[in-house]
This record gives sequence, C-alpha cells and structure tokens, in this order.
Amino acid sequence: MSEVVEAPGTLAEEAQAVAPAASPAMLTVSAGAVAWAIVSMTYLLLRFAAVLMTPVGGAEAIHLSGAWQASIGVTDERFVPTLFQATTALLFEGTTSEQWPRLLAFAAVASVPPAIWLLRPHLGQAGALAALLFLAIDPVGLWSGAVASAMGFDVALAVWLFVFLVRGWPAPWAAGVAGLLVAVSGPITLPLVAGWAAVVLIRRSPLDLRAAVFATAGVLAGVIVASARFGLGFEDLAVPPLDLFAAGFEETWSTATAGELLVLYSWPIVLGGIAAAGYEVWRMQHSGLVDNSRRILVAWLAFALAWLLAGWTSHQAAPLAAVTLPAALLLGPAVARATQAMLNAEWRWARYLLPLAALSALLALAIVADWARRDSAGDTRDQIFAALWALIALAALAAVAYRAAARATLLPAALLAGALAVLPGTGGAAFHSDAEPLSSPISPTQARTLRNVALEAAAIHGGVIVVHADFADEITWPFRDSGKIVLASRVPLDAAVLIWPASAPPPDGFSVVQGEWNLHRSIEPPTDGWLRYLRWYIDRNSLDITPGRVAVYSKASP
Amino acid sequence: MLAGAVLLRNLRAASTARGLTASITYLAPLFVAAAIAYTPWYLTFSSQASGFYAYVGAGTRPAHAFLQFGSLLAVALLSLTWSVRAREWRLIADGLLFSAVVPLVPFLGWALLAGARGDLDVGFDARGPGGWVTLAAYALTAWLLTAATVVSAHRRRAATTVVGLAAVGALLLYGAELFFIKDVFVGATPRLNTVFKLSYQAWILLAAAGGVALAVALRRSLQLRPAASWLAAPALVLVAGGLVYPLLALPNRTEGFDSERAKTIDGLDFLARNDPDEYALTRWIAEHLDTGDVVIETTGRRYAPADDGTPRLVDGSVDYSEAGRLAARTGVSTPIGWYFHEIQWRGDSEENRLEFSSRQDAVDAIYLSNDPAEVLDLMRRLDAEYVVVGREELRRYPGNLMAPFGSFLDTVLEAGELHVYRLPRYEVVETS
Repeated sequence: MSEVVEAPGTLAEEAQAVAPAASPAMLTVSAGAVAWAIVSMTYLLLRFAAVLMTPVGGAEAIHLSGAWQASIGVTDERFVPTLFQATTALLFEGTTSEQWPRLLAFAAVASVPPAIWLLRPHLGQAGALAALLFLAIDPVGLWSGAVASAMGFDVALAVWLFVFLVRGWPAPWAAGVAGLLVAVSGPITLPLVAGWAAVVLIRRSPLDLRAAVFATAGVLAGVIVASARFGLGFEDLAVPPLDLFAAGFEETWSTATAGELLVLYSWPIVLGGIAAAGYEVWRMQHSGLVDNSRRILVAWLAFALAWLLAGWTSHQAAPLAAVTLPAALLLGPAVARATQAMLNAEWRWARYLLPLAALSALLALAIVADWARRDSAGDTRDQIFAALWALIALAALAAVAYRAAARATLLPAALLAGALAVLPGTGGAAFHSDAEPLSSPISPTQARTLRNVALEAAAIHGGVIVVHADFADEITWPFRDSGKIVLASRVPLDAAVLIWPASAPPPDGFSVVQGEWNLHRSIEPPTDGWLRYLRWYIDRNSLDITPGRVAVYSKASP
Repeated sequence: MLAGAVLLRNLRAASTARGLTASITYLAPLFVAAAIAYTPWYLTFSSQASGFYAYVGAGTRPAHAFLQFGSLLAVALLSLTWSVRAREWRLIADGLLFSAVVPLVPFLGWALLAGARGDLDVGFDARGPGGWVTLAAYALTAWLLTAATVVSAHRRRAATTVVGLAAVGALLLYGAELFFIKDVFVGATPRLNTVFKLSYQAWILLAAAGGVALAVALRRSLQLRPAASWLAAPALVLVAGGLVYPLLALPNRTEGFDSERAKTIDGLDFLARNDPDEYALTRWIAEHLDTGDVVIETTGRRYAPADDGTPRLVDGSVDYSEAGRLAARTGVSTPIGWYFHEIQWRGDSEENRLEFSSRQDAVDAIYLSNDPAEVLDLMRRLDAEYVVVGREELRRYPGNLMAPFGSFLDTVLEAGELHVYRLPRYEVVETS
C-alpha cells in the first residue's frame, strides 16, 4: 500500500509523495490510511446518527410537506423542483417515512470523504484530512447533510463540483451533467459557481469551450426539467437554486437567524476559514506559487460570506452551510501547515506558559460558568477573580506570542478553544437535535400520534377531521396519508374531531380529548445575553421551548 | 448620445465607409438587445404626458432662480475663465456667433408654439418683468457656456466635457422657462413635473461641472495670476453660504445631539406614541400578511348617519388623507388609494374613473352594508381576505353605520376597539 506523506513549506511540498512500497509478504497499513478511515467513519457515523435521531423540522419539514403534496398530485408552493425534492416525491410513492429521503441525502454525503481524498494533491495529505475532520464535526454541515430538505444533495454536489473544477473534467460531457445537477440543486452550490466564475473572469483563464457548451446545455436542460417540475406539469419558469436562494430570505426555515446559528455552532470554523483565506490572499500577492484551487476556495468563501452577511437576519441555515464548506477546505491545509510549524517551534517557555494559560482560563471559566448557571454575574470579588485569571491566561498567551519562533505553539490553545465551542454542537446535532435550535421549529412525533388519535375518533363518530386553518402548513407532514380532512376557521356541521387553537374557547357540542397536544415546537436560541449563551454550553437543555399547543375535541356522544 | 459618440469616434479614426460600417455593426446588436430587454416596458408603458406646449404663465422670479441655482450657475460660469483664452478672440467671436442659435431657436420655437395657439400676447404679458430677467439670465448663461464648449471642442481641450455639461444644465433650466409637458396638473400647476424633473438633471450636471470649474479656476489663478483669484470669490461666498445648511441641520435634526429628545427615522414612531392600538394593528398586518394580500381599509370618504339612520356621504375628498395608510405603511394591497393619485398614475380615462369610483363604492359598501352576504360577495369580488376597522374607519364610518363584522367574519386581531377581520376559511384537502 502506498503512503502519502506531507512535507512542510510550499504547495509542491504539500503534494503527495509516494513512500517506499511495502514488502509483498507483509500487510502493512499506514498511519495516514488509518487516520483517513477514522475521520471518514466519524464523518459518516455522525451523519447516520443524525439521520436516525434528528426530528423533522425547519426547512426539512417544509420541503417534506412539499414533496408529499407533489407525490399525491397536489400543487403546493413548498415543492421546489430540485432533483432531491423530485426524488423524495418519488420515494413517497412507496413510503410515508422521512427516513428514506434522509438515507438518500446520507448516500449523497457519504461520497464526500472520497471526494476530499481526491483533493490531496491540492490541499495536501494532512490538509485534506484536516479539512475532512472539520467538515465532519461542523454541526451545520452535519445537519444539512442528514436531513431531507430540498437541498439534500447540495453539500455533496458542491464538494464534487469543486473536485472537478480543480482536477478538470474527465470528459466534456461531464460538465454538462454538472450543469444540469447545479440547475436542479439548491442554492448552496451557487457561491462556488460564482467564485469559480470570478476567478476565471479576473484571471482571464482559458475555458474548455466544449465543456462550457456542455455545461450551458446542461444548465438549460436543468431549467427545462425543473420548470416541467420533473413531469408533474409546467407552471412557471423555475430555477431551483435561485428560487430557494430567494425563498431563504423570506421564509422561516429556522427559528434562529443565520447570524445566530453562526454564533451558536460554527464560528470557529468560519473564523478559521477567513483567517486561512487571508493567509492565502497574502501568499497570492507575495508568491507566484499558488494553486488555482486556493483561488477558487477564497472566491467561493467570499461569495458565501456575502450571502451569509446579506442573510444575517434571515431564518435559515443554508448560507452558513455554504460558508462552512469552503472555510473547512481552507482551514484544513492551514492547520496542517500550522501543525508542522508547531512541531518545529521553540517550546522552551511555551511548555510552561501554555499549561498556565489553560489552567488560568479554566479557573476563569469555572467562575463565569457558575454565573451562567445562576443567570447573574457574581459579586465584585468574583468579578475581580474572574478578570484576574482571564488576564493571567491572556498574558501567558501574549508572552508566548511575543517570540515569533514560539508563536506556532499557540495552535493547541486555538484548537482547544475551537473544539470546545464546536463539539457540543456536533454532539447536539448528531445525537439529540430535538433540543437544538438548529432543528427548530420541530414537527414533533407527537403530532403524528395526534393524527392517529384523530383518525380513530373520526371513525367512531362518523364525521370529518377539521383542523383550524391557521395550522394549514403545519399539519401537512404529520397528517400525511390521512384521507380527506377539512381546514376551516369556523366549526362545520359535519365535524367529528376538531384540532383547534388552545387559546380559543371550547366549541359547543364537543368534548375535549385529554392531553397536551403540540403541532410544532420552537426552540429559542440563547442569544439574548452572554450568560445565557454560556449556560447553554453547560446545560444543553436550558433553552426556552415554545410549544405550538393545540386543543383536540371530539364530538360529544349523544 | 452613445450612437453619436461611437459614430464620431469611428469617423475620426477611419474613412467614412469604414467608420459607418464599424458603427453600425457595433450599435445594431446593442440596439436589438436593448429593444428586446425593454419589450415588456414598451408593451405596457402608458404615459401621463399628453403634449408639448409653450409655457405662457408667470415666469420664475429672479430671487427664486438665484436661491435655487445661483451658486451652481456661478461656479459653472467659472469654467469660462479657463476653458477659453483671451487671445483666441476671433475663435471666441465665431463661437459666440455660432452658439447664438442655442438660446434663439428655443425662444423662436416658443413664440411659434404660443402664437399658433393664440397665446403669444398672454405669454409676453404673463411672464412679468422678473420672469423675463430670469429667462434672459438663463439664455445668457446657456449661450456663453455653449460658446465656450464650441471653442474648447475646436481646440480639443479636456475642458470641453466640463463646459459642455454646464451648458446642457443651463439649457435645461432655460427650456423649463419656455416649454412644459402637459400632464394631469395642467390646470393648477402646469409646469410642476417639467420644472422639477429637468431641475434634478440640471442640478446634477451643474454640480458636476461646477465642482471641476471651481477647483481648476482656483488652482490656475493661484498658479498663474494670483491677483485674478478674486474672480472666484463671489462663487465661493455663495458655496459657503450653501454649506450653512449641513452645519445647522445636524444640531437641528438631532435636537442638539440630545439622544433622549432626538427625532427618530422610524416613520411609525409617532403612531406608536400617539395611538398604540392603531400601531399594534399596523404591526400585526405587517407581520402576518404578505404584500400580495388584499386588505379592505377606508376609502377616505366620510359618512354620517342621516335622520333615518342610513349612511350619508358628508365628505368625498380623499387625497392627502389617511386613506390607504395601511397599504402605505405595510406594503399590503388595498383596492383603492387616493382617487386623484390613482388617476395621476394610472391614467385619466373614463374607464379608469369608472373603475376607481366603483372600487370606492364597493369598499364603502363593505363597511356600510347590513347584509353579510353582500359583504362577503364584495370582498371576494375585490379578492380581499381582510377587513380592517382601525381608527380611520371608526372616524369615516361613525356611529352604528358599520356592519357587525365579528358575527360573520373571523376576528384575527383585537386591539382595544380596533379589529382586523378575515374571511372564514373552509377547504377540503386531500392528504393521500
């Protein structure tokens, strides 16, 4: 088995080199291969856990509803004709579960590790591995790749598109396929396309004309297919990536805003990516030896950041998912370089100062964590102690940073801080996202139970299920495959079961079905104060949950 | 202008035939693409402009003209001090002679147009002495700047652009003194749109040219003839006088930089302070409705109960009232806004007048009808889902004139005595 090793310094040195071949008689596995296997498995297992455990919510609930409506032949604006939505609608011909569309999304993102593996000549062996690790633990990317929103193929498509843009098309027609897939994808691929176009235009790079013609034809074909809604019938011109891009600014795909999700989940990866992009730009200006892939990555990140900033207050995770992709791909090689520099750095004082900084920071954090638990800042004595420990930590770090030769030893501190900020979100997104703002608003499983209860009651009393019109959008998914139901704002005469606002007075002639029933659940992001924010890190279940209470009534027996 | 510039450039760079060919092949695709891009606009555009007329009313008073454009014209005229040279007197004389057509032709055109309509005498008399002074000042300015443009262009100087812009700016002001585009304001303020649309452009052209003219004049006079820099003094005084506004506006608009008393830029702040219920109603609409949703709100016409209790129209004027306030404040649609503004923007035709009147009647009928079926029918006809009973509706349909909406519509907001009602919904949906 060959081994790819990374040497420090230039890009050429980052590229792979082939190690001596192993003896044919002995099976050897390199440390690199083991690392790739571990990180790839981490990537896949985290997403598989999310597939199984994430409640239906946010954009997924909206788009699953749209796909369901499309599958039963009902025109619904929630059906945006991406390839994923169309495939989901097709899957609903044979299942009513969200798990199959999720497995479809999982199958797509399962192709990401090999795609990153193919990027080793451009990112470096260690750089590509680190990039995959950052992608694996990115909570927003994890969630986006595991749920069945209309953008289910976007993450995988963006990564593969990047692979082909930097490695070249295996054949011109492949560009046509890519054009078609982009035209029927969500908006997460758009910053990459824009970034690549910007690099080509600014550098006046020669285009492969045949590939360009194929790509254009592919895009046109995609627009036609999408406009025909994959055979469901032409309604209007549809360009799904642009339609979803625009919809993200208007619709509520998430309780938290894109800016809040950044603060809650992915800021270390994004900030690291921005710093790495800054370094790449500096290197572009001071060295001619810059791989074109880095230019595309920097431009990709720039366009994605522009989207994130523009959509800062919009309720969606898509721009953040678009940012963390290039950020992780830039951060990976940067961390690999920094690790090499760290190993060669001067550790004479750092070996004492860094533990001191860690200990001081821990003590300061312990005091502040106690405040967060009590939701109020401590007295003056506590504040002085907290400030003192924080100052000692900062001073120790500054003392290390003062000597240029020792500066790279700060990497463990930066990685530790980043890991502390990201990993709770990773765990939350993968294993218990029913309490995470990332998945909110959630369509609880109880809503499906409510549907079963309503069906039974309607069968007993011989009438129709009537749902208040205010819940029209919320009931589509939990009440799928329930026959005819009525949406009304007033009680019709033939109502057997009423699902009514809990705040409305009980209707005459109906008796209440006991229980606390919810059609949705909103988890408020802890961004209304830094103590609340910190408390959330300590106690993941400390968030305010707003249930969408409904009252259930059945026709009173005569 | 683009075509002219391209043609000029190509004719100077090559022979006539080649120049023409190059220009056509460059411009033709551009024009075709532009025409295609603008096709939807061409197909749907309808203008309120209904003719080009000689203006025969009172002229602009010199004080008003000076207050608005004095400083800009003064700095623009400074370009004369450096765009032409005194020793070019023969060229200057030719330029002046040639450029005399610029003020003369429009004036003759005005006289012909006014004469053709039999208004020439009225035009001469109505303008008044002040109006003639303003007209002469604009004519002189346009003439001098055009002559300077011609001389500069002949010498191929960079100054041509600057003085050319200034000349066009002055000519626009001159033109607005002589002619106007007829629109719906012809009765009361015939020049309203002509003056302010052309003034915008004149302002920009004169400001762009004036800035350069002032800077170059100062620099040249200080470098070459310091003693001549006094020529810029009057213009500088005028510009400095104009700068009083930004200096005083800041403390004025911020109440002396007092954050407590400072005025807000929130246009609904007054409503939140003065009428919290109406504010709550407005916010609810903004937050819960889409811009495409149609909301019934008062037409602005005011009713009172007659002796027999039936509604009696007591005030039919709606423009510049609170009518259409919710559409304006939230962006939702409403069937009818200010009647004469609707006519102004959508066209003054019998068909439109009938349509707008019928909409006013329909909206008023929704508020005043006692028949729920009629209300529902009218709402569906107007594609409206919501009816608002806000402060204005309580004023315009007072007493018990309004229908008991709560008995047959869903109450979706109650803020004090104000309400928003919605059509009842009933829809059978398939889920499998």
